[in-house]
Amino acid sequence: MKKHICLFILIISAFNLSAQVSTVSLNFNSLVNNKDTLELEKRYYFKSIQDSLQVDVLKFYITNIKFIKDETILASVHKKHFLINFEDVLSKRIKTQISDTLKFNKIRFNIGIDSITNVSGVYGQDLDPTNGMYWTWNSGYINCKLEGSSNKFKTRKNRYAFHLGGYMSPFISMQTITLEVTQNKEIEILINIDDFFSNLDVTKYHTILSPNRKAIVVSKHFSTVFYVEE
Amino acid sequence: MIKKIKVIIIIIMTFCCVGFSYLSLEVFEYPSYFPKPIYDLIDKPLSKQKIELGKKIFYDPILSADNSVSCASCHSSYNAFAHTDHDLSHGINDQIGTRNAPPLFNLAWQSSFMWDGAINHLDFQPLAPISSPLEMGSNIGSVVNKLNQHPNYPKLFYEAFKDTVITGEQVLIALSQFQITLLSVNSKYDAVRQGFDVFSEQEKKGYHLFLEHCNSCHKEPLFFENKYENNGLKVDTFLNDFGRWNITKVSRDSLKFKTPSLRNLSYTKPYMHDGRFNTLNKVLNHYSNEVVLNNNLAPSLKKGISLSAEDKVDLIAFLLTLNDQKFILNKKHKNPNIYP
Ligand code: HEC
Ligand code: HEC
Repeated sequence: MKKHICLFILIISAFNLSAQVSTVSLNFNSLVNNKDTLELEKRYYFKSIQDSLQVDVLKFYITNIKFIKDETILASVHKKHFLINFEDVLSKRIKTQISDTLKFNKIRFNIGIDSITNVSGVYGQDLDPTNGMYWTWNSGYINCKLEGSSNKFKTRKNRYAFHLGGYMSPFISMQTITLEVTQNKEIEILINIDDFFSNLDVTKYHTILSPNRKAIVVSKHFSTVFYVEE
Repeated sequence: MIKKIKVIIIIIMTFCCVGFSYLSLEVFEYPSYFPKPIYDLIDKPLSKQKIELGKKIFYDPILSADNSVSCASCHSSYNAFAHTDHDLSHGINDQIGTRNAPPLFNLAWQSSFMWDGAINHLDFQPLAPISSPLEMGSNIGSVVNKLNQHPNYPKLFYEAFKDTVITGEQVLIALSQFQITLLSVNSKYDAVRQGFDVFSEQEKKGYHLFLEHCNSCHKEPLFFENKYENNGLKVDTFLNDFGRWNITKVSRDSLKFKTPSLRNLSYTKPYMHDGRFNTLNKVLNHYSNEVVLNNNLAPSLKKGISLSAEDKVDLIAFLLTLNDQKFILNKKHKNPNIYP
């Protein structure tokens, strides 16, 4: 008898659960000239820099995602670390469950891996070192990789390479950003590549491969080009 | 009904705990005067299968690009897992590295790795030699691919991790687990601490000299500290190795190196980060006569350490009590293809 009651309660609560939560997905993308979806290894003419440019690698960590109402944190996404890799379409979409009763108007997340995770040894999945987002000769995650080429860069083969990371003071490169959003099942988060390059001193910043002062400057800059498409 | 379940759960839990401590006792037993290990064995408990798997990988040249170099090529069990007779270790294509391979033992108490502390966790250490073009010349991605296609490894990994694909995380955890079991805790010094043996007069004098002059850096009972110091070595102008500065880029870290353990010195020569001294006599001559002044020299060494000829003999007699022959001969740590 007791068993039956238990089962009954279980079924009821399962129903309740499914009635209360819905899936929200955060979709990461980038638009060229505010219209074409960025594809890797494809040459585009960028109006903002008045030159052609291509992106070959765009990978970054999005971590500790929180849904916020005004200043109150309503919910945190259970899985902590997501590697967004523009080469892998599935990775560009973060799906999460959130209760329908929670009405949020902002989301907050980190771009990069926090210091504690950086010193706690190896983890799997998105943090597995086979993802190529870990420095080998000097411990630490690479928070963001952005590579490609453009005639704007007066470097060998006109290439630029930003491997941004660093978890030890004074070179902590992780950034936290908060974006205003309207509650929706699909939230489009865009990276404004035009702004990234047009507001960057390309004579000074072109090749960053280790944690240093320049990496911090560019990490901050990168965090300012995220926006939400309404 | 509920009570019964509770009892069963308690029984199962006790079994798990007993199982864990039984395994720990067998492969990770350390003396009571040791501090608590730093490696988190609660989060990543040791398992027999993982340790055995880690050992197999450690001895397998599959980790290097051309299958010629294994971890054991540079870290030999007969040398307390250091690289003997080579001042600078050599790797793939016989290329010479830039530093002396340190011995490997009591790693669970170490919070940073390499002479300059470049690596912050034991798990990540193998990425450095695997990727270094001077050492194994490969990368973790292709190592994982090779292992996944190997006739035996997928089964062994499955037994250890219960996962159908081999991942980078698993390879690194297995290597850590084996290396954590490399415990050196059976030297004469340890027997004396535990009351099974006594120091000779000479060793006793040496011990007191050690406590006076050396223990501030090479702290007993581990005889190392997770700290970087400059001990007054003259800069090798060919290598120009600035040690900890390479990592932090702050001038107060220039020319500082990790304080290494003094256990097993008879097996680990040559000494220092670049292997410049091949005898303990030369090491002591350095501390007594050759300390070079520089901005970051440890204050305790500013005036050098004054040691008479007799002091040196006594001090060496004590240092030799830190040799752990049981550790060197332990078959459990040796190549599983030779000692299955
Ligand atoms: C070519 C020789 C070579 C090979 C192969 C090699 N090592 Fe080393 N190992 C070294 C040298 C040299 C150092 C010191 C490097 C430094 O300080 O920059 C070192 C350092 C270490 C350390 C840090 C010890 C400490 O006290 O800081 C560990 C742990 C280690 N190696 C484990 C391994 C493992 C595991 C492998 C196989 C995946 C391996 N090594 C392969 C030469 C080698
Ligand atoms: C100020 C701290 C400090 C003091 C005091 C000190 N050492 Fe050292 N010792 C170090 C450091 C740092 C190294 C590594 C230096 C390097 O390789 O650049 C080292 C290296 C060594 C080595 C080489 C070990 C190896 O595996 O290569 C020996 C042996 C040694 N010390 C013995 C002694 C003895 C004996 C004394 C006391 C007479 C002593 N040390 C006092 C800091 C110290």
